[in-house]
Amino acid sequence: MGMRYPLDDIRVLDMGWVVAGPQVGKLLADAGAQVIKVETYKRVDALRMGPDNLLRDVEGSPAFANINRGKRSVTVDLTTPLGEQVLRELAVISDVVISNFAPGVMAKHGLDYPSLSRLNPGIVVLALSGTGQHGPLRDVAAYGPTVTALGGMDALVGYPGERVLGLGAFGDANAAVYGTYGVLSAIYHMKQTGRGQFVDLSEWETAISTIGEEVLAYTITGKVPQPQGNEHPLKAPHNVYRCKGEDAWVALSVSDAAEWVALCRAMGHPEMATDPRYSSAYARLQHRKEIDAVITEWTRPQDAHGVAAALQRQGVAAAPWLDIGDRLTDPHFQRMFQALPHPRLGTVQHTAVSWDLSRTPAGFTVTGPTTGEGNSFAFKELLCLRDGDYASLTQHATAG
Amino acid sequence: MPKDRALSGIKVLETGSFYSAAYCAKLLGGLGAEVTKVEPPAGDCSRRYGPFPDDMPDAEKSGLFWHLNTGKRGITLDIENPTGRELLLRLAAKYDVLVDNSLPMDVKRRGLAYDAIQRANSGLVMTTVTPFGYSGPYSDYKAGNLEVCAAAGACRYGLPDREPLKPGGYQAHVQGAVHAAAATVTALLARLRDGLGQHVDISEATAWATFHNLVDIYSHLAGASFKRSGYRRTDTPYPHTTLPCKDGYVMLIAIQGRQWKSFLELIGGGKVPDWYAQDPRFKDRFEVSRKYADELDQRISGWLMAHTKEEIFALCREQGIPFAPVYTVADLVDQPHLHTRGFFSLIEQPGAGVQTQVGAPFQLSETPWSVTRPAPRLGQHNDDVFLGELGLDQSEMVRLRQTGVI
Repeated sequence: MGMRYPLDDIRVLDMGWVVAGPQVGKLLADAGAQVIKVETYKRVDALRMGPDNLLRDVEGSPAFANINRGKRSVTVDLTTPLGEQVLRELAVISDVVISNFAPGVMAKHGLDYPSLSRLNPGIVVLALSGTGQHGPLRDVAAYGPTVTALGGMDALVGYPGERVLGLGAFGDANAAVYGTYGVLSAIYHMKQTGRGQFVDLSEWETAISTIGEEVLAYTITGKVPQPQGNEHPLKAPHNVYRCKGEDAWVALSVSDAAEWVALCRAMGHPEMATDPRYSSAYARLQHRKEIDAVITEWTRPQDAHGVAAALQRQGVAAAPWLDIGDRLTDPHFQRMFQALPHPRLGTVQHTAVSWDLSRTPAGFTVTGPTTGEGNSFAFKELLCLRDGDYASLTQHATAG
Repeated sequence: MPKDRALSGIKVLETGSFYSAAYCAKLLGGLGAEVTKVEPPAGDCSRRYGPFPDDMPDAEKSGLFWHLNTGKRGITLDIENPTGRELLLRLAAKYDVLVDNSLPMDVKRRGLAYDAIQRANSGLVMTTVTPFGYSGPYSDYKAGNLEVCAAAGACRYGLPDREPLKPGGYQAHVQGAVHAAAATVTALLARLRDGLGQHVDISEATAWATFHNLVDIYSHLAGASFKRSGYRRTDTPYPHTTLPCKDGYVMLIAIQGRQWKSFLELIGGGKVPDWYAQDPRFKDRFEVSRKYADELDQRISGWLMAHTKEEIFALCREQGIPFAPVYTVADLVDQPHLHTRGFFSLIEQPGAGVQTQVGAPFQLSETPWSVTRPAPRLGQHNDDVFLGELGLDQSEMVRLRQTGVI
């Protein structure tokens, strides 16, 4: 028997928008789920017209193509009764419904969990929003960049002793990973009990969840965390150091005495290994700045990859700092891109699958859909809509 | 099999050290899996991290250890030792999931790679979450959170002429762990069909590089490389910046033009101030970000400095302006919204009182997240596991203790 994708019996209605919702759909599609992305004629996914879109038409965004790879696209006008009705029918024959609208929007169209579960008790409905579906701040308009500010993460970003720099800005993707875990667990439960459930995800809470140790630290000590820079509470050195070239850097850190000795030797400063000023983790933390200066003197004329490889051979934790262009050519990271043909863009680089499962690997073979590409599939094949209804449902596709 | 929790009946064995495996297992535990944490007899390194109540270091009172390990049982076992290895394989035969974060070379050296695990239990899902994954040139690179963040693209903060900064906390470990939890459940779903397990290989670097800041990849390919630019972005419409206010900082962003106009009206007492409306340089908000951001920051700083972050948040909310306070953890633990939703958990840690911890990362309507026990003391459940589950007798336990295996 051939290998089957683990989610090949799961249908997902992805009503997600921009990043947070669609990234959940992406992970589920990579694992084999049939994902139907819903857009409306009046308002296509804003990601289609993001800054990466140089064609400036709705089919010209490579970021959209990547985040929505492997999905089908349907276009529905939710302001018409027929549009609302077919979308509800699609939802009811799905196993999972994903959305990241403001609270209340799904209910307005009869697509909320209570309505859907009456017709399909096994359905799993994920709603991602900035602050969750209930609570006094549920209507706050939140974006990825504000979520990390609200979540306490931005306050930690900055050089130690200096102002907060912030700009964490990964609240959407972070929420999507947690949301995917929630959906998969709910599917696991549904497979065994037949019962679905509602997953209420607040991006704010998933942001705070990533720094749970800081919450506990504050409640234990009463000390308010400050910008951390690259410092570590127990390790020194632990920083990113300048190398040869424009904006070239290497990250390295020392966890124990053996690594410290190895670093001193690699730098050609064996005397530092026995210097009492640096002889313990405590002593090195006290002399962090001096040590950083010596390391920088050593790394500055060298290639970042070379420093990292040399330190790794000596058993010291190190890695080159890489920007996006570096990763496209780096021997380790270049495998994390997969080129696929795209109807408007020729070839688009897609980020590889995020998980490697040995027996049931994830994968994708087609790029993101053009607008409404799956209308016939979803409405005729899945819903068996009559020709007349299909025509009136899709007539706006050419008009709008 | 009980069905009251999403992952009821799943038994998880956790090996490795520090953060990523522990957080992955904690996530599985919160949804009902029964987690047994395996520590070396000297204890996990996170027991030394603290912070500690009253600043008194104590291996049983480390805040970081508590955060990562509430809800688990804990045993000690030296898996570097051949007897320890054998006991681990005997345990693996009785579990559903093994989560580990050791480097691939260390796993091989111990003889605990997936082929050995699979021989012990073909139905077991072995989830590894490592810095660079099990394949590729960096797979055996020693790396902590900082090195992964630097290579994978997470060190994108800071000033252009100074060293790049990592995001707050241990984000490489966290993102790897959440991906690992999701992938583990995917493997459990596959197992429902045929009873077979597999190796789930999660690379922290891959998790980050394939999932975060994806739009920036294409901006880069389109020629507009992302550069760190301190507390503001210069490639988006103004404002996209973090500025000081009376009692901290606020994050200012206005995706839509009307949001920015509403803010100008707010600070202008109902109308856009003349200094803005009549200056043609401010027409294009992209242009403002590139050229006039300092000047505009200065113009609005008077108003910001006259208001607290809560005042600014409340005023902006009323007008539909998405500016947000830069909360510190101290602000968060007092938030009525979070308390209304029951976000924080109060966990009684024996000998240390009740601690406020983060709770459910998301709310499941039928099988809610819950944590039913405090973090384990070192070796607290050795008897339960070695006597109860493996059927060893007391004399064997004594010898294992004497020889430092447990």
